[in-house]
Amino acid sequence: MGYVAIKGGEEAIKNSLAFYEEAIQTHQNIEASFVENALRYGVDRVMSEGSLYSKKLASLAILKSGGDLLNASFFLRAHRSSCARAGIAKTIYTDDMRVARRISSAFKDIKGGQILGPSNDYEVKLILKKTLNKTVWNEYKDEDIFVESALKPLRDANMVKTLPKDKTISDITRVFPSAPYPRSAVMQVMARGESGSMLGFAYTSMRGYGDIHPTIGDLRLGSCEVKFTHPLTKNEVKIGEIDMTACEVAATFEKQNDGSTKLTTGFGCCFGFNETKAISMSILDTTLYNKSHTIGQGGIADNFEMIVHHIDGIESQGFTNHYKLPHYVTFQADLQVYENAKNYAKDGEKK
Amino acid sequence: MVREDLNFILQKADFKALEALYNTIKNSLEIKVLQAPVQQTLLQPIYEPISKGEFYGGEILVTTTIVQLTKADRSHKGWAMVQDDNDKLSLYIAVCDGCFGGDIFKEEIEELATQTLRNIQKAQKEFNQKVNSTRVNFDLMAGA
Repeated sequence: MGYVAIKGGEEAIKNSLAFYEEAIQTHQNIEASFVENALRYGVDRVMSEGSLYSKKLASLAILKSGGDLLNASFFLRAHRSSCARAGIAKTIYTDDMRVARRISSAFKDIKGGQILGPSNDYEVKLILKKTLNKTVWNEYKDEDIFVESALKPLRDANMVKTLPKDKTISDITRVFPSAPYPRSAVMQVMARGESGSMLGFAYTSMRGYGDIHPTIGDLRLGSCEVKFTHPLTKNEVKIGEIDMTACEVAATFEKQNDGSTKLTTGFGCCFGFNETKAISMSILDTTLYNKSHTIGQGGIADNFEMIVHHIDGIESQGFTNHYKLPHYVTFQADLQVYENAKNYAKDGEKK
Repeated sequence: MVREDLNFILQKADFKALEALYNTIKNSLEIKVLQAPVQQTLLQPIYEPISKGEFYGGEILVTTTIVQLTKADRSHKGWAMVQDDNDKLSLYIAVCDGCFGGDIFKEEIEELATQTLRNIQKAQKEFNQKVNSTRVNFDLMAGA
């Protein structure tokens, strides 16, 4: 069988793109700022999975992809790779977050209190038209809410299991490490992982391929300051504020090598408001680093290879979608192998 | 107010007022753009409490500008790094930054920044009231 190079389809591709844009043309009448507000959780998800914090471009990407969030994340990730990196910002401590929502299911009475923030958790999930229940806000206190993690007292009391700290912080966008994976690399992979994949893998451990049943120690949504160094004065300068979600789960007590018994915990953190992702990340962090949550031969959510290589939405989508591109030669080769095998088997029968 | 305060505060300024201030400055001194507004990223480290280490949570899109302002043979450089894709905002703030550092139009810049800061604080207080309104007050059930 000879290999025949083919070309063509340019006109079809051009028309296909025009057809696609015409099919979602109403998006040209929608301001990106409307998307930023009305679809904020979609925008946040795209920024987190695209690994680029830009509400403006994430909104445009959602419009450009007709609301396909994976596709929108792809646009954002691609844009990220086209920008030069100015440097590394100052470290964000989620305990310094200006809180908009903060809950703990582990403790009822926590320092700072339980704050529901903007949430529809307690809404009946029926699509009904309703009038906005206007509240008179100015009856309430106007003070800022900065509060330490609800698990901090347990950490201070040395009750929580700790893990070794990486000597250097890995950056998977420059070098993707091999096993054994540094913790910072695993956390970075998860921070930009696809929310649905992470939820699915975390759910395997809850459902039976593991035995995790964590308690939310501290879940918080709010804004954190981004700081850098002013290149002319060399002093610290505030660049802006970003919305973030952070979650710490408490799992179970585990006997340590030194004979002590410590509480296992997991940490999840991502750009934007996306608590399902942050909770899933904290569960995966727990299952990966604490074998006490593994049943028998091991499950799925406790396997570094499984998690590190399968939760990136852009990569998995790219690999999955590449199958729809021309594979004529590959498939013709498969058919030829099948025909040859059949003939070989027939010849064998004759002999 | 110090020079480093301007970069964030002026991002929240009334855009027309900032543009008017920029135009006033532009008409009275020479502005040379050393680095035109360009999109860059900042890598963002996050502290994680389990290992007390850090990891990179992603990158933040910023628009950076560097300018040089010249008046009466004296030059001052200005810099701005604003969030997201905002060319004009970055240019205007870089000019204000340079002016502030060189004591030019300092009063006007400070006035705009002070007013903006008041607006930021007011908006923050209104937001805080909404957040504080969702604070849970537990009542123990009788007999429980």
